[in-house]
Amino acid sequence: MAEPQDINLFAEVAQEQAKSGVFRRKINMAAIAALLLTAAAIAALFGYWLFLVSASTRIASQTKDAESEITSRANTDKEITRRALVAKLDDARTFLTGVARFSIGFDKLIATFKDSGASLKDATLKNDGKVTITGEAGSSDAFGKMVDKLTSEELSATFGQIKLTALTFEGAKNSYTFAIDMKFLKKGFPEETKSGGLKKP
Amino acid sequence: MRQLNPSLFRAYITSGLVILVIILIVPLVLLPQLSKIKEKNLEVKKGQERLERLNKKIAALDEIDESEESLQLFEVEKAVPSDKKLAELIIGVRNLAGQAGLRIMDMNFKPGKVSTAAAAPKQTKATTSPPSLPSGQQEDKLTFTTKLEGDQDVGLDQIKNFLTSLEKAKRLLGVNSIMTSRNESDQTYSFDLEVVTPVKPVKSCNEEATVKGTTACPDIVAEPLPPYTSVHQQIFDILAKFVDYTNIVVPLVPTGVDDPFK
Repeated sequence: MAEPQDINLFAEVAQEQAKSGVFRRKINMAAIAALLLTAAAIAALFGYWLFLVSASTRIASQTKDAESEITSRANTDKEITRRALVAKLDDARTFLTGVARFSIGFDKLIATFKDSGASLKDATLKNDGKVTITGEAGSSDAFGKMVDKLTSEELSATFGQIKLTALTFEGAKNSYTFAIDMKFLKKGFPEETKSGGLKKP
Repeated sequence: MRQLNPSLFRAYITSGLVILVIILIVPLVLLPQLSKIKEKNLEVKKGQERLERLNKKIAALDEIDESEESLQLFEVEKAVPSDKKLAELIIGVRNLAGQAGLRIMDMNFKPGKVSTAAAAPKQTKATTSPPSLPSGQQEDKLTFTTKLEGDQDVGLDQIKNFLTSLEKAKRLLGVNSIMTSRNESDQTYSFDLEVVTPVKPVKSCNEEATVKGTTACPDIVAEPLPPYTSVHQQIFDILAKFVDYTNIVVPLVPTGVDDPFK
């Protein structure tokens, strides 16, 4: 009968215990590291929060000082004056830009009719530029001169889109009656004058 | 069956608790704090931007020459008045017509509201619509019609001179339309004019907001000052050369009495 063999289990148990101890230590170290990291993150966030609160308080205090300086009597007066002045000048500019300069229109019309010998009966001038004139010419020559003058290069900056809408010969008066539609083109600031010296901004 | 080893449990309890604490800290502490920090950061950023605007405004206010701008405003007020100043306007138009040799046959105003802001009825709701004006009238403009008559033969020259003066009148006046007609019997011309003049009423913040269609007043303290540019200076220079036909003080009559003309 064979003798039972002795088996030394100690080394295996010790080995396992040693392994388990190392693993446990590693786990604990990792846990502590994670905890420290979390604590560091919380501390960083808290620090940043404190910085923000302090910045906010400083800004609030500086804002209050700046506001009270702006709303002081002297600065309020300055601000009201500036705002009113700029608003009114802007309005003046818009108005002057959009207004038709009918004085120029009449000046040119008067000259045209005088030079040609025709006479103006009625005229309607509107701010949108629509002009309707009716007049009389004693002869076809006078009428021709008037049309030539109206359509000349000289008046092209003042009147455009000239259309003869009616032309009638009245035998009794021996004259031509005509109606013309056209567009008045002069808008904006008053022209430069000898006395005024105005210029467009 | 394998038994739970108490020594093993004891060995891992610390790390287990640490993990649990970390797991709890993240949603309960870190995330809300991050959200708060985000809000505060935004608040600080906005506050900083506003403070910069305020400081810029203070610097801009320091640069203003108040007496110079007050004098300019006094002049510009004659061109674009804050209220309609009807009496002065009528006198101004009469002066213009008189100088040109034209006769005023008719003058028709539809001024609408001429009351001051203080006399306006109190509004109960901030969102109520502004009081309506007569048809064809805008709050920032006054339109009126006038009929003028010229002399024989020189009527057209007279209206040309009238318009030349009107276009350079300090109280800004513009012509919307002119109808010219010649009387066949005496060869005189008559002129029907529709004239417009700008008005710039002073509005409170609430009124301005209502006009612009916004619900609340802007942050007027931090609102930057409008710049006074070279274009503004040029407009002012042009206006300064215009002739004032309305510089007549119209005496005010007493109100609340039987006969205000006594």
